[in-house]
Amino acid sequence: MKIVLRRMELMGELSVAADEVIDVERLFIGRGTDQHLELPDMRLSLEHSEIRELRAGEFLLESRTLTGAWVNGVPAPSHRIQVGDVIDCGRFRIAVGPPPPGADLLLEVVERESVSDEKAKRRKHFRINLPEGGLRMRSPAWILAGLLLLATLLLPVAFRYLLPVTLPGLALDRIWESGPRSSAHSRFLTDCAACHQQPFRQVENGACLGCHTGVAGHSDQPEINAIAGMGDARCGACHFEHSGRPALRASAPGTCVDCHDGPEPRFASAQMPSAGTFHGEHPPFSPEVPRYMPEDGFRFEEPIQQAGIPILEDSNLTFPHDAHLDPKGLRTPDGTRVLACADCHSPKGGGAGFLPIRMTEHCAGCHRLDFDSTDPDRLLPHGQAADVARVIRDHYARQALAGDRQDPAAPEIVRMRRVPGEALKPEQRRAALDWADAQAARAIADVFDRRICGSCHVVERTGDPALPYRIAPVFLSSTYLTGARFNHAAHRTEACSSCHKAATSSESRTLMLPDIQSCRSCHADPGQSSKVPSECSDCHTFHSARNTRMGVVRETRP
Amino acid sequence: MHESFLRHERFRYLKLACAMGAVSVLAYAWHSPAYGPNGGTWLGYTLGTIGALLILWLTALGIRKRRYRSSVGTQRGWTSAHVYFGAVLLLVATLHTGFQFGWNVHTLAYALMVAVILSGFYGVIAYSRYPRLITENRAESNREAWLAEIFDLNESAVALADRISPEVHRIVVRAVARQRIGGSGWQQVLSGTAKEADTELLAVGNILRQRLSVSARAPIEDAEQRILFTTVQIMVTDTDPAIERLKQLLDLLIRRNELVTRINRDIQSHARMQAWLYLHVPLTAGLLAALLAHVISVFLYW
Repeated sequence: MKIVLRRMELMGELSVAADEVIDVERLFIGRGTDQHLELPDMRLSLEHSEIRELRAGEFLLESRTLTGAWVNGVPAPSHRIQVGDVIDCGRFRIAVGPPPPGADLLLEVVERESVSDEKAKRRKHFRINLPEGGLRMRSPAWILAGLLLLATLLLPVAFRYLLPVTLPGLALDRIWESGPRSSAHSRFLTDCAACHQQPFRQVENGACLGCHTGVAGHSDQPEINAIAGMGDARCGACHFEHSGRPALRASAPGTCVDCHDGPEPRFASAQMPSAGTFHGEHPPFSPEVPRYMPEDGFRFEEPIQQAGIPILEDSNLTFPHDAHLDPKGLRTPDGTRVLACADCHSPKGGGAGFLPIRMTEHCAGCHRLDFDSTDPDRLLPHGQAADVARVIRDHYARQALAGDRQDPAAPEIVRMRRVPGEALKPEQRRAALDWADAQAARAIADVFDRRICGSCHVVERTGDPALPYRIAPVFLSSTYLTGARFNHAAHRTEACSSCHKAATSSESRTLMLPDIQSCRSCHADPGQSSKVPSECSDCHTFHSARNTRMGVVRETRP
Repeated sequence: MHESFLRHERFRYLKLACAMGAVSVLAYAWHSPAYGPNGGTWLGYTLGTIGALLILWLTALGIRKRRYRSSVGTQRGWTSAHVYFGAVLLLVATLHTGFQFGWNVHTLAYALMVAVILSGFYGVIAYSRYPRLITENRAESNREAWLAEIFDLNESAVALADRISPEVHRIVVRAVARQRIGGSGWQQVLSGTAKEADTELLAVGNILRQRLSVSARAPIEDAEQRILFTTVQIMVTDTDPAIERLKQLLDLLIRRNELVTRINRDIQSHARMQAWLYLHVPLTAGLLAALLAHVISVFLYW
């Protein structure tokens, strides 16, 4: 067989072919100098492989080494050669081409790289430092920085301010939340924009007052509200959201004392005593008590508590606490009963205060409103004086008309038993009515002035024969310390008597409110270890104005 | 005399950093804001500003340390400052948080900062440990010389093997082709001995033993010891040139394997000395991004 060996050599850029024609039965390929096709690569065997002709035009490549020849990228111990096959031998590559005229086989031999090139490549093949080992510094840095910037800043800003769409159920700006929301806000305020309305601006009062309408301001005095930071105080200056605390309640003692410790020079118009500390510098209580003038009705005074001087209030009720709290007990329709405070004073709601005292509920069990000893089950209504008079008059009119009254002083017509179908004469009717009017007038005077109403109420005379008596209006204060809040529930471990000297109070006009010294026996400024540390806000609120609301500085209710 | 960057100027930056840390701790202890310490009090803002400036400055120092031509200060001085102020940053930033953490960008920035600082602590340990190990391992030579020698030894071994037998030639050529020096970043850090080299030595040793009709009596685990044991035996007896060549081949392979081990150990030391930077630097970039988001978002939603 005639084989053309075409050796391709690289001469710079050009590839130069040198043909050699060999006519042999078997073509030997290897590193040995005795081979027909000598391939000088130390890694090859001396005898690598051979090619022989099977039939005309059919050639077989057979490996003569254990590792085998590599044809078209796969190891092949023997292979039937076709045009287009590629045989790899170390640095060399043998390609089978279409045989030129007169030849049986064309083998193009290419030295793919020189010895020195291969050595350099091998050295490069080793990855001997971290960058060569695939570690990168810059690209991970850029990628990480970019992703974080995108996720924590750019996308949240875009969806919050720039894009007209929102992601349903996905608030990207929640990643900016510096701490958990207060328990009151956490449920329903899921949109940051509800409060954070303007970028790079602190949350403004409008955001709070949108829901918290009608929050009282600090002062009703216009000149106080005009001072910067008073009428226009920022809610967020005292109420810290995202602080990790469950509530937003402001409790910063410094904030109050900043002004109230010696308010004289800055807030002269307020005419307030100085309150620097609870223990040392706090004014005595000045409870708001009702005073009654028959002509003007109730007005309120705020006398200052002073040791040894009782404060009087006008409730227009007479109620000796000592008599009702008699430890020996009271005679009642149900037998002897020892009363306790709680029998009349029932806690209201959460227990901060008490339900009002009601006559029908608390008094009527013992204090029965009967007026006619011959008819002790006949009771008067409680409430309207006119109704009382009407009931008494109706009662005696009925007695007179019905007759059969067992009263020797009554006229005969009243004492007589009535016969069915009987008609009274005019003089008999007159006598009966006179008797009824006289009885009613006596009973009204007795009920109002002496026996019933008057034992608890202040009764005034009207001079009007139709309704000669009037019950003075009653005012039962539910709170006396209007500038503070006192929570009875928080003090339920204390006995009532440790603050209120009810057992020795015979005169209900005398106020039984404890003074500040009584509070100080348990409470002290924060930092004092021996007593309950108490801040201003435990008793007081900043929002103490009666007629001025937050956010409406100039507008005051009439 | 060589002075470590840790001892630079008699611990100048250690003292400065300690002073900064002490002032921060005292201020934190003295300050008692109404609603507990947090990043939003005046001290919180102050510590936060100091922390952010420290981060920027330390990043700049990191860049400066690699800019060898600059003449502002010494390389060692900057490294010393970088280490000590980096350490005190951990304290300043922790006080800035007021120990309030959550699943948000603010704690993310803090966590990234902690990761950067911790990787930096590893770097301090690495820089004080590996240069000595590298010098010891190098024994007055260097990696390029070793590589050149390995290539020469490989060529000689292939040539020698060729003169022994096709089988030996095949074994040696295959082992050379599979020789591992360095490798992926992971392989470089973990390194370990090359199994291929042992297989090659055992195979060549077995052939030698067959030629000598010597059986391996004692079960000696280490391949190199086993071959050395065999060669000592033949020292006395051999006269056959083929056996002589096999002995030469074994000597070559043992010497080459020793060099491969040495160079791999060198690569490993370098890798362990520098690998932390591949965390430190990308995490720093992430930290800067998170820090920017932290500062902007805090004032965006003031």
